[in-house]
Amino acid sequence: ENWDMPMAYPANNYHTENAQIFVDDVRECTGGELDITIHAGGSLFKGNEIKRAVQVGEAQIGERLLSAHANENAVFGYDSVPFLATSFAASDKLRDAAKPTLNALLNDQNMTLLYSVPWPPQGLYFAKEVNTLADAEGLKFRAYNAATARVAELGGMVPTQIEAAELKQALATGVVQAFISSGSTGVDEKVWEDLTNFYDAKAWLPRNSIFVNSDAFDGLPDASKECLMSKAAEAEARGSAKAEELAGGFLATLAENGLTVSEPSEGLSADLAVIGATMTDEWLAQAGDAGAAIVDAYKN
Amino acid sequence: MVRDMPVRSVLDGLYKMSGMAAAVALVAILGLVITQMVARWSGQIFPGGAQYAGYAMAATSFLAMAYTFNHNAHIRVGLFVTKSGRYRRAMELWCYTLASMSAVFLAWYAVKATMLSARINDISQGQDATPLWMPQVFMAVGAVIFAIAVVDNLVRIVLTDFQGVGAAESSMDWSQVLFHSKASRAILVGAILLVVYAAMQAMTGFDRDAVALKIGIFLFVMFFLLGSGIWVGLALLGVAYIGMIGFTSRNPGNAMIITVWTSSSSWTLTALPLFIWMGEILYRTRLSEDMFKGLAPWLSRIPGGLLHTNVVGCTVFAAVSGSSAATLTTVGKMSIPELQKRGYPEYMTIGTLAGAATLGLMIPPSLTLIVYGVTVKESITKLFMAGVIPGLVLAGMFMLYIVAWYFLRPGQRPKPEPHVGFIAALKNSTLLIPVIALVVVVIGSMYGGYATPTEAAAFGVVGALVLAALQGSLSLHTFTQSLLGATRTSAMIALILMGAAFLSLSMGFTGLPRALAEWIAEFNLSPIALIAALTVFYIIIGMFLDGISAVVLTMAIIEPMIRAAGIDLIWFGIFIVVVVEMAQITPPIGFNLFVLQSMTKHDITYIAKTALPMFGIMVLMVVVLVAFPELATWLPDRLLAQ
Ligand code: NA
Ligand code: NA
Repeated sequence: ENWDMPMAYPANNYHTENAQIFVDDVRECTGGELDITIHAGGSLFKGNEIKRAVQVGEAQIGERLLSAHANENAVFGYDSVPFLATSFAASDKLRDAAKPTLNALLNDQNMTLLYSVPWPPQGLYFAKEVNTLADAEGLKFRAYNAATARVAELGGMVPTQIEAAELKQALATGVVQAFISSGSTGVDEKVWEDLTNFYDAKAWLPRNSIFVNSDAFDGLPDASKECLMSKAAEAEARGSAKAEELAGGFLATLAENGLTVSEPSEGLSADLAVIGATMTDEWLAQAGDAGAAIVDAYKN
Repeated sequence: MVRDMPVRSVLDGLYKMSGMAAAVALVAILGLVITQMVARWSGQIFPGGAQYAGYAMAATSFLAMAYTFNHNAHIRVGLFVTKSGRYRRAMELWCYTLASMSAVFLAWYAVKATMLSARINDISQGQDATPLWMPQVFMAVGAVIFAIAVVDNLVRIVLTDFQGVGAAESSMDWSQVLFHSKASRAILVGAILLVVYAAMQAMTGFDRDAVALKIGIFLFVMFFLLGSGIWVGLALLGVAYIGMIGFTSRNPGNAMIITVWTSSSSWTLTALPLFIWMGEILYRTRLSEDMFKGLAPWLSRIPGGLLHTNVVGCTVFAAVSGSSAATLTTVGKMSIPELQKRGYPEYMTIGTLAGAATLGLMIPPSLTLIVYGVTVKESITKLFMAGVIPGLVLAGMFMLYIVAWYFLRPGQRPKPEPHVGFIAALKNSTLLIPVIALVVVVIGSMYGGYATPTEAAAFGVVGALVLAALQGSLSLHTFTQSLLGATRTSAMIALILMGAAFLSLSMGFTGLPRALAEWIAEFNLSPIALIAALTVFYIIIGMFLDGISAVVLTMAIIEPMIRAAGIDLIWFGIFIVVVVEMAQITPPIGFNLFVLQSMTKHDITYIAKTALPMFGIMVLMVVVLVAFPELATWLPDRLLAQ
């Protein structure tokens, strides 16, 4: 069996490298029965096409930042609720709490969840020192979805819509003066060329999920299914460990290149906590019982 | 015949109306981009603005397809069709039969995908949260009307003496033609369908591992479909289809429509029709004439004279736009008629334009460098700076070529421009002020932080409209003509982009580019040998893929090779741009060739020939870059060291 696996991020990204080990393991475990080819960097299907491609069976397996599909169902955005889970351990706990609900949702769409790996925690990038959100008032804050637009709004900043492809230029020309993202984005975009401060707010840890088309999965012999599932569990643990290991490195790289990297001050933390509480309530209202089930399971 | 009349007028009305609707959608793109900018300046947010503009982009492209087809504005390699003489009708039957299959295939899956979107409740991932079936309805409707238009033409060729949309120039004796009766024409269509069926059986019938054989068939089909005169976008869809059925077990139609939808509804693509529209407006003002009057006294002192306006114009416009097609249409619309009027040889006009327009990719802003920078995680600011000097050097080399032509082909020099004194020349230069103002406004909007490079195109359109109004050349007539012209050109390019996107997907499934790159990696070449090998490699795949797809499909293998060889990634980005520029002008798939064909109505083979010296210059540019790597690395190092 030959499967194609579209992935959105470049081959040297740790998510992709981790998946490469995963498919090698699966090939070995199934004795070459199941051979998965990774197509990195959106070279087969682009990031925003991957879920649909797997759903309708144009690719058997794929990786996607599922929170991008929160418009479709708020449950997909469980990993992006601000200040709900703010550490790697908490993120793993939240993932376990969400797994039954998320998998049921994916099953309804003819997909089966294999594993998910977090990105490093989201922090705040600013063009100036910010000790309370009052300091950030009026800054142009990059918004790329409803949640980030809401963060800007609640934080008294000006939401500025910029697509990922244009982020660097928007930073370079001052169209954007602040944004929220992980340390790895800051390194990728070389943010030190344009902004001055990074606050490691650990707002949330977005996750990339790997899922298969259920028909393709059901068509496998039981032994292959077991291989896939056990190697997926290994990949999940390995990927999370890698993310944690890299997280500090990204921040160190930011600091080495001249960005002021620090924890948010008490005042800023308090302001952010208020935003987090508001947005958690809003998310719960959208996600309904399914959302409540995830949060209840997480908090117990 | 009488009974046919209402059908005829209904169909013609349908094509015309969909063209009008496409033009309205183009105006909507402008309105949406402006709204999004104004919202941002005033601290508001226009949720989903980028997505809406993308939907309008898709609506423009699809709704205009039939209208564009009936205006004979979709392009094809017409060489063999026009030279087929007595067999013209047979050739046209072949082209229209295959085009019909391709267009019906596209329409079928466009409708299916729209219904699927509604069924699985696929919702936009942007802030608009629109159920995707809604904007996709425009895709489905446009694709269906397009399919109707192509089939309509085929039916008329079979049943009447009609010879197809592009037949005006042919004049041969019909009585001698082999296929003179309706029945024999219908039989020919049947035979063509059988041939296609057999080809598809051959592609799927062989063993999965007969890779070399299938690659052979794949390449043969590509050359055959393009060469025999099928419209380029439709031919690419057909080639990609063959690749899909040969190398994967996936349903080609479903996979196609996913990538066709994304590529046609993309936000960054909206800059293209807007810049094309800007060019159409400027072309209808006195601006181009004024620009030449202003430049003539100065440039006529340089050997080669006004031919240099092609290079200078493209270099300046390259700083405005990130795309080669937009640079080409804007400058070409103005310079081609003016240069022809003055008697410059056409091959020089077209050739230098084809080459110089590729500077749009090298001189910032550049879409290619953004894609490369994101892929290899290098600073886009640095890459942009790195492109400046090589861009100017390459422009200088194009100008040297013109100077060389002037001295080597004295017989081809046009009548010299009337001599103008320094003061008069200076006075004439005031005519340049409007053009300079427009360029300054567009570039200023980007670097002043008012607009992203995509949005800057809206500044260009509004600026051009203002200039036209000030000159008194803006009327309802010129407005609609410029709009419809832009709609047709955009639809022509959009159809090719759709075909290219599907071909790129198909190539991704075949694994061909990756396999070639892996093969090169096995040799462990020295850096110089590696660059030489990669130049050849990208020239070859650049013949079949557009440059950006070539980069995306191969970078995963190439990047580690480059890093291992110790080659600077910024420098390599500029190298990549040069080879991507080459891909723009190499047949069979070269975007600048297609755009120039649609502008000049010359055949692509002729245009490719005129552009060949520019291709040589770009190869030389690679050598220069290898010899003097500082050309690319000096400026970014210097500016970022501060
Ligand atoms: Na450019
Ligand atoms: Na080419």
